[in-house]
Amino acid sequence: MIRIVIYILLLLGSSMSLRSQNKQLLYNFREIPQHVMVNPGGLIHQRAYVGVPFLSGVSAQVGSSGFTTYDLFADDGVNFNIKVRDVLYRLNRNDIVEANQQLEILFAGFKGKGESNKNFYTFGIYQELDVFNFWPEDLAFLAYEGNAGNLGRSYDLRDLNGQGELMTVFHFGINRRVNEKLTYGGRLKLYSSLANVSSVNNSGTFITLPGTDNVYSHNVVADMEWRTSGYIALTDKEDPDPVAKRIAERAFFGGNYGLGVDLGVTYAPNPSWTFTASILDLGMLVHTTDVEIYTLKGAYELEGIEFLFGEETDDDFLDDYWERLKADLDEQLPRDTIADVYTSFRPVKFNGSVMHNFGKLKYRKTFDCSCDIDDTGYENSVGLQLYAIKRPQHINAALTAFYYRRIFNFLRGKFTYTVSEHSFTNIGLGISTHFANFNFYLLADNLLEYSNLAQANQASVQFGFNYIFKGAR
Amino acid sequence: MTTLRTILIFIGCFFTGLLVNSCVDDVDFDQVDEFILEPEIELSLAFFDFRASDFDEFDPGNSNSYIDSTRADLFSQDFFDMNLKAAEFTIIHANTVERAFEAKILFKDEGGSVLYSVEVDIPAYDGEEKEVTTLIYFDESQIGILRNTYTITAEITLLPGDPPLDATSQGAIKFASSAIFYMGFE
Repeated sequence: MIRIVIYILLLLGSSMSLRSQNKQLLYNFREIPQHVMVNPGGLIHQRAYVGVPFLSGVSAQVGSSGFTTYDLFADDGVNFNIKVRDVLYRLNRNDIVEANQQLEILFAGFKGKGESNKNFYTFGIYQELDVFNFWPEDLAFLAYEGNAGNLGRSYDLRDLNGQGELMTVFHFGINRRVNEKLTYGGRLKLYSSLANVSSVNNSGTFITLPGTDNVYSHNVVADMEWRTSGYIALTDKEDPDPVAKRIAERAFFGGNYGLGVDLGVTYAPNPSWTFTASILDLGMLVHTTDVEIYTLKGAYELEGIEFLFGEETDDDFLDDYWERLKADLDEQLPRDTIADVYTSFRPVKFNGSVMHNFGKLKYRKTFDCSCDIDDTGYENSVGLQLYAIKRPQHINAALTAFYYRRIFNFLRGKFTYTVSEHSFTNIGLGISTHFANFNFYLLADNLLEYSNLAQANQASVQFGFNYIFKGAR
Repeated sequence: MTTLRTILIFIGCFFTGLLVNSCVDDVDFDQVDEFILEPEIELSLAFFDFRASDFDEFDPGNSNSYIDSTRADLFSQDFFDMNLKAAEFTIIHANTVERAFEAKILFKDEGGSVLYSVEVDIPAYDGEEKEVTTLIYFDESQIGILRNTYTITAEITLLPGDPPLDATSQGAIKFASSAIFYMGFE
């Protein structure tokens, strides 16, 4: 069992990101219809589009900040336990292990009726898996070393800090182009959660000190909570149905729901400059179905069992100190399992950018291609993007410098360089192509690491196919 | 056209890079089978203390020997039963009574048979505290003793000698114990 847990943890960790859900390549990439998902107030020039079901938007991002798959699994003859030890002593509680995956099931958008209509509507369904953990430094050390030889070391129980969710999201958005300078938009989301586990805002310590009556005094103060919904049904061993079937049955309406909004704006005071901002997943879920909450709250000091020798309770002078100790522990440090309603918040994301447009204006009009693509504006853009995501007790941020180019009518490209607190070598490249009425895009970052993905701290890839209807907005 | 060719070559490389060259080489995930988690858990165990006056030899109601037991099936619990590789017990007797003692610790199975016993002689106080530390190590081949232990009995006996102890005698005999459990989770 422990091997399985470690394996999953390491595998998750070794393949995951520091800026998970940062879609710096997609942001402001206006030829790709899905860019409106990261800024509902983005510029939309198409008249209508529809994504190829299940293939319109596939994205996966995985990462860890302190180690890579290669650090652990390199086939280099070094004992695996030594590699684990080396990694363990390198990580700390600010290191992150995370994964995010999204699959668009349905996505479409269309301009409101009437030529003068300023609105553009989008709707769709996507599935999302999001796992996020801070490295549980003290708990990992306690599990790895034990408390022997660590007299006086206080283990911080707050280090248990992570969450994971699997959900389906139904969304409907409106994008309103007020005038040439201003576009804003909003999206309403209905979250349907399949499974949610979270343990955040824990507190407490475990410490072993020299004892007064005995050799050591072990002290625990804990206020911990582990919340789950949907998880029990998926892991129920009594259920004869395979897990995949259980997931499928609950995929759309799992019983735990929430609401959220995305908001965004684009302001272009003149054709040379564009400013954009968006805030995503401002929302929460209420978990009412299939809920189990595990708690550990209280304080306990243990010096051992005191032999009292006083009462000869029976022929064997047998006192049940051990049973009393266990009862005492349960009373002072109760572990409870409760089924109660709880709420969880989605990780709120912020994007902002400033973009300078330059080069030839509308020069591609001289080409005649059968593809239907926006041809307004300049052929080049450079700019800066800021991304931030609110995680438990932490905000992760990343800054991206980008260059965008209209290479041909059928081909647009974007090149990014992103820095975050954990990475300074993240180079990304995205392309969007248009052949006939089809749009295909491919966005990938951390390109320097692609020669051996095992050595990458994080990697992400997004791609999709869309059908673009003729005509401009 | 040179520019166009360059761009197309670049795009070609990009796709190729992603689809072909994005490899995960020289890794062996089977190494996880070698993993073993070996924490060392240090725990205080039993303790007690007696004052010299508890052995008052002029009080006919007093005994020169005390005995007590507790059920202790800790080691047969799954956590220890499956994963305990070795254990080291530290037993400390500290004597400030001007008489010598003999202490016994017995590990007994469910039927009451003694599986393992420790006997410790504690010298009398002579102006300096007498501390006797006893280390007991159970290696992997002896862990079965701990697994089958159902009760632990502690016994302390005042040995014959001088000066006689009465209700006003000074000093105490203290017992403290701890153990390091060497675990191995595979």
